Amino acid sequence: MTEPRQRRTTEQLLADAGERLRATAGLPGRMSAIRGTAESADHTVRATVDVHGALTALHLHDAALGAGPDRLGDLIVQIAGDAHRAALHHGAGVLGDTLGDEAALEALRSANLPTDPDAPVLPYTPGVDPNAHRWNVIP
Amino acid sequence: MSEQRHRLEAALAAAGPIIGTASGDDGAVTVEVEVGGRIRAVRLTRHALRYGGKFLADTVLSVAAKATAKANQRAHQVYAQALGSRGESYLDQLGLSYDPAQLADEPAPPPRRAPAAPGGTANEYGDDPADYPETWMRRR
Repeated sequence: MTEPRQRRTTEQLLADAGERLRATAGLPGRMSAIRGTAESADHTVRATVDVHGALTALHLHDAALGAGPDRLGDLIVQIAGDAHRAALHHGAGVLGDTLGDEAALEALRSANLPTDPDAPVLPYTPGVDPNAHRWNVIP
Repeated sequence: MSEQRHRLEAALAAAGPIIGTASGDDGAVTVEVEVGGRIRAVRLTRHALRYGGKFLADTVLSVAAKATAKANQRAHQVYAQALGSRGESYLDQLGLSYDPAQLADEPAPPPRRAPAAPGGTANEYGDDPADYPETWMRRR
């Protein structure tokens, strides 16, 4: 299945480095645009946060106030935490697209998010889609 | 590089956990966040619920933004202490900047209409801005 990879020429390596610089230059912008959203089971509390976990939107249905001030405060913290985990997952994906699978897994591990131990970690070459051989092109 | 890292770790250890706390709605809503804005606690009083969900959500949102600005400002101080201005630009690159306007202790004044033109006589009634209507009744 895995064929020996051809050695890349100097020109290709230089082009790889240029591609990597271009990809990483846009990374802060792509990371800051990430949002994660979560909702309580009864849909009365919905929170959206950025990749750092800062609230960017909060919706509280009037029915949510019935829980009382203490439980409602705790529920907001819990839903915002769920939204943050979603944002971090998304962020790890964005990192992986730019820096490769190993960087994505490292980001998930450092954020204490579950990782799939069986996930294939493909060697990263800028500008080359490592999954290209898996494409099922429908003619 | 490793010396800088050592200095940063020492400064972070000396600073202790960096937490931003802010209150709003006359103390009815208090939010505690980590650097970056991850919410640690939301403390509400019964008073906070009196205007309904929309008002409370807006209050929590603005109080959380204020708490985040405080935490991020503290992080900027610690990083600047260890790494100088490079530390601050590093935090900005990570998206951990803050709006100094959020840090004023007094709540932001409500938006006002443009002040009266200086020297004009329009402001003869003192209290009202020049463009404040004399009456809300309209002629049709």
